[in-house]
Amino acid sequence: MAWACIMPEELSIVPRGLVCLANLDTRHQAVHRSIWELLDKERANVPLRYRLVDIDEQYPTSKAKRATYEWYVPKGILKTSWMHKHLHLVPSLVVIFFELDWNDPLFKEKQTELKNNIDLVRTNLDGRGAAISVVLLQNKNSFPTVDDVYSSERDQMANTLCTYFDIPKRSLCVLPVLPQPDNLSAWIDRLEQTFIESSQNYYMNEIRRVKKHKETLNNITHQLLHIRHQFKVGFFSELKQDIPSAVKSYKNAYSYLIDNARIHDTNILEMKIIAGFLNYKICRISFELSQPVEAINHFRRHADIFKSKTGPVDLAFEHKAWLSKQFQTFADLFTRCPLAIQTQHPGFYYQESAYQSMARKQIAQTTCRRIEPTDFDPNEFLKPTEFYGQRPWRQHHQSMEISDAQKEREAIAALRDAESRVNHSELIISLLVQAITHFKKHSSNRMKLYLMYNLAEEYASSKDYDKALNYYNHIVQAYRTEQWWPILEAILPSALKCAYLSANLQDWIRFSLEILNPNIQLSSQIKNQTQTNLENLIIKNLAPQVEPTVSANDDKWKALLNKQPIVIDADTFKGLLECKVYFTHDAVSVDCDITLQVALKNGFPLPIEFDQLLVYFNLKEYDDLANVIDVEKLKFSPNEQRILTFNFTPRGDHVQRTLEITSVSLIYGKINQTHIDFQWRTSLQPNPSFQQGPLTPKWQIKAGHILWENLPIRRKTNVIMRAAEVQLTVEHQLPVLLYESYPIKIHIKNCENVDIQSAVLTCICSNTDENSSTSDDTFLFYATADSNSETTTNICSMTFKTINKDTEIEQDLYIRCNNNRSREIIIRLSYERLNLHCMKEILIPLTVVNPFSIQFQTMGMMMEPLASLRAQEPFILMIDTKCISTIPITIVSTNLKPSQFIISECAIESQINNTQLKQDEVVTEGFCLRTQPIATPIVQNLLVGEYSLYWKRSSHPDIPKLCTTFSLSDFNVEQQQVYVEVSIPNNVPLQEPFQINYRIHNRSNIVHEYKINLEQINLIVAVCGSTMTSLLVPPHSSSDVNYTLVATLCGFVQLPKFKISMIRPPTQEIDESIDRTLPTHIFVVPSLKNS
Amino acid sequence: MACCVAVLIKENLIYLRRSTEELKFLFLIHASIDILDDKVNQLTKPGGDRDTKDFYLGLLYPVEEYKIYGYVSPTRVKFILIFEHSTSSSLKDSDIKLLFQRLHQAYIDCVSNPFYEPNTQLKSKRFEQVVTSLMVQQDSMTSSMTLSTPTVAINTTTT
Repeated sequence: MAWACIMPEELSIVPRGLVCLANLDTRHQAVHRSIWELLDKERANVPLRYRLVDIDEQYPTSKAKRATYEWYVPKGILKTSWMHKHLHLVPSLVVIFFELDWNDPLFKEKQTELKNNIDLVRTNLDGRGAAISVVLLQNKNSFPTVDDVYSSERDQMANTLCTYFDIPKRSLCVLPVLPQPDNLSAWIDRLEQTFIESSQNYYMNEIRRVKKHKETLNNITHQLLHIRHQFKVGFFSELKQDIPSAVKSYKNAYSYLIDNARIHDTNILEMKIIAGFLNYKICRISFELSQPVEAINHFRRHADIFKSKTGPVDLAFEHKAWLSKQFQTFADLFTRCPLAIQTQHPGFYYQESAYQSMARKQIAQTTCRRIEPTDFDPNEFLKPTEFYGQRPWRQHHQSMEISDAQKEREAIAALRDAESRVNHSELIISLLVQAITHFKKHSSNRMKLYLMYNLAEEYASSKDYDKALNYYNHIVQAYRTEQWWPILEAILPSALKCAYLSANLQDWIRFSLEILNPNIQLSSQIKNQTQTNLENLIIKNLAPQVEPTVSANDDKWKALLNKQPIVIDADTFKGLLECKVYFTHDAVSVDCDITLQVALKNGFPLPIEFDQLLVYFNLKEYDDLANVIDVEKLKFSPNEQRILTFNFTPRGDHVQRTLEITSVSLIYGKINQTHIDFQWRTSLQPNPSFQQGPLTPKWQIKAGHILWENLPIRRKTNVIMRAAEVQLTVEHQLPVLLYESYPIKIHIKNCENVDIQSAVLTCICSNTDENSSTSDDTFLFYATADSNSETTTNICSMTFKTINKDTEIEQDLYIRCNNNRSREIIIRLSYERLNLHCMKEILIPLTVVNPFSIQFQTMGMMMEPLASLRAQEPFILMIDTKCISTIPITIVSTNLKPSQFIISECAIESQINNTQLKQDEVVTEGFCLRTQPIATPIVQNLLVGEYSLYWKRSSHPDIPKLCTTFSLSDFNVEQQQVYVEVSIPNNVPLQEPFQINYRIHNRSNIVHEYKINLEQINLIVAVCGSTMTSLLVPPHSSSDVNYTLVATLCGFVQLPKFKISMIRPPTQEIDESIDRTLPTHIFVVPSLKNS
Repeated sequence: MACCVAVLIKENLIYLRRSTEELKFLFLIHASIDILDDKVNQLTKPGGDRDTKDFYLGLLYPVEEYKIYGYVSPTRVKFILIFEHSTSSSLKDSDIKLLFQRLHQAYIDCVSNPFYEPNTQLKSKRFEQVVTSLMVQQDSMTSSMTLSTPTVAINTTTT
């Protein structure tokens, strides 16, 4: 049906101004050839199209232009030859090439020859307005140099030549390219500029000429001319490369056609075809200008307007064909545009085009039939026309009435005859395939499925069943996965028919099973028939029965019915047949039976009898243990569910292996004939993640009947060792103290009815903290004597030779933890009994804490706290030990080891031996020490010594004591200039004189002179003799001052205040803190009367 | 008015009402899931400043005969309305959004029923009534219709 689908090639060519090149001898002259090749080669944005012509080329003759259109009735809108004529035949410019040098000896003769050529071309143009240009090819040596470009002589000659040729001066060009061109392309570029100018000039005149007609037209008889002229203006504008004007003219023509033109049955095809042309031009230009929205909107409007303009009912298919073509050409244009998105892309238009073609096919199939060739000659009605869109049998006919009804009937019959010969399916399929490509590109997979369904139907209708099956398979699977049963209900019967017709056994069975799925709500008659067919095929080897409308295919089917297993992936056929496997226990001891339950649920609409059930395991040794070949057990009525139970014993060598079901296979049909093998694999897994269950529980419907949903799934079981008949208990007291040998008492009681031989006790530390990779922070040992040996590690084991029946033995275990992490200890007893490995295991979590904390501080001799030590002066070191755990500890002894910087004033002895501490109790001991002289005035971070505590858990006196050592560091030491050492009795009797001695040390490098005064505060302690004196002390030495005092009151009384101040050097002051190192009080006791 | 109403959870159809038993509607609804998913993903991309209360997703597919509109609830329940191309030209986005909001409200009422089991077919007389009102309503009524007057709509349909 060529008429409605016509989309002439000329329309899709990008119009470019036509330039004819005459007199170029490209075959023999190299220079001519290179000129032609340069002009003719593919370049972007070239506004001209070149054509080689002979000098005597005949151009289409121009009709006499009428001065007025009064009384003129146009015959049609656009002639079929018009576009071709202006694209390829009517030049806008004719260029004549001629070899002529200014100083040619035969100048006159050649000039005349050229003149004759020009005249010939002019005659042949016959009134066409094309310009004529002359290009003189000259020897480049004779071309003027820069100095005499405007040589008046040559100018004169050129002028003369132009006058002689009767052409404007602009049209004469000189090309100095002989004998060999230099830089030819630059010359050609300049030459082309002048061509473009002339060409555009020509088209401008043409546009003007056409536009001039407009005033003489009226709106009644000249409607077609309005459209034609606007179209021509648009086309000329395009030739002139004036794109905006072209769009404007096309749009004017389009809106004139829509708004003003009378459209009726006799001219509707012409109108639609021209509207289609205009729409094509407008959309193409919009896309090229990157205005896709503009193009889409225009096309939408176009489609909306014309969709309803069906035209004659007898030729409705023609309208559909035209619409389809409109959508297709628009989609083709859109495809070139890169700006497509998911909701707006060419796929939609190909889709619609395909649908229109389907509609066309349907109409054609119902209305169109072949005609007998004897009736009349249909070719009479199908020959080409002068105008686009007109009917061959009534060309130029502009009336609304049909004059010859008989002829019209014959014509319609002829058109229908032609239509009936069209292969619609091919067309539809190619459109659908294109649409699918685009939907796929824009990630619309579900829309793709819809189109694939259309495609499958189309293939089926064109009897290409294998291809159709291909698509059916894909879409059925996709819709099943998404559980869109209503769509499947519609697809499956045709898919099944298709499988039957192509005699594809596998697909036929698959689709039959799909239909039998309870989710598919087809009529029970269809379902029963399907199952009967299936049963006949499998059990009785009969070809399926089909509806009488489908042509029988029995022969092919008979050939198919040989032995052939059909494997069906039953996981995907949810609902039809379901299987659940359940091991009753998560772990099975190796001396017990494994119980496996296989539940089957039948969804076939009619009773069914399967032949075999086979269960496959990951361990092949079990494969035959859970099979059913008893047909009676595999008889199912509709919706029946049944649980089959299997018991079998695990093999001894499979201890600590996992038994897993890999697949379940249910066989329908005899195994040595064609049979269906339903296989479950993935659906045997329990639901992997959280499944949204109903809030209300589903109850058992009747007693003994368990809902399928509530059946559990467990497809793995572990084979484990025989449990040991022993009691394994431990006795210990948490927490564990850091570094101690933590005692655990293990009790083992033999509960077997015989003696246990060679039992192995193994203790392992497993780190609960996964991050820690160091395993050497825990040591396990059975005897404390081992505690320091190198061999102790985080695992230890021992063997008991015999554990007598009903006796209990004990074993100590010690654990030393070297850091505070919590950890677990596994205690395992294992032995052989009845050739089976038995094992008992307990797990003990341990927490580790610090047993005590240590604090120390330094004091002066007057027990005043010292921020920093003073060099060479005595001080007291106080050490507090606090028990911080809930476990009482015993401090066995302590030891202070002074460092080399420290001298001890007296023997260092521990004062807290065998002290027991409970939680939060503190024990303190003090040591009197003195620092060595120091080299610098201040020393920081002095190490005083090491303090070692020997301790143990109070509850276990027999385990060895533990030594924890602290380093006493971080002391600061300062050098003082002056130090006063006081010797004073501890106590004095009342009213008896006693001596007090102040020894003053000068620790500086210079001589000091001090003023010393013992200031009397009260008379409780009286000073004898003078109280004030001065004293000279050399560097690094000392002097003594002695006073005799008498106390007059008992008790702890205040001493006179000792004051010291510096006389020399006068600049120095004595630190006031020295006062705090001096005794202020003395204890006075009553005198012994009787002495 | 609307010639097809559908409610989906994920890709499962839990409610469907068509003016005619055409298979085409099913295909179109199914195909719309692509676009709905894509649009929802785009809207809920991190950094989007959109109010996430509800999503009116506008026109989904520019199919020739029909206009397909989509709407997604905060819990990603999808609502689809299909209009015939000829009747829907006068419809404004705001009108359609109101229709969707009524449908959404009806859905909420329906699933609030403690006897309704989630993710199963919607079977509710009230919901059917609202859908019926959406399918028979005249254009002129939609613009004056608000969420607060669903009873009016039901009355007009039952009489």
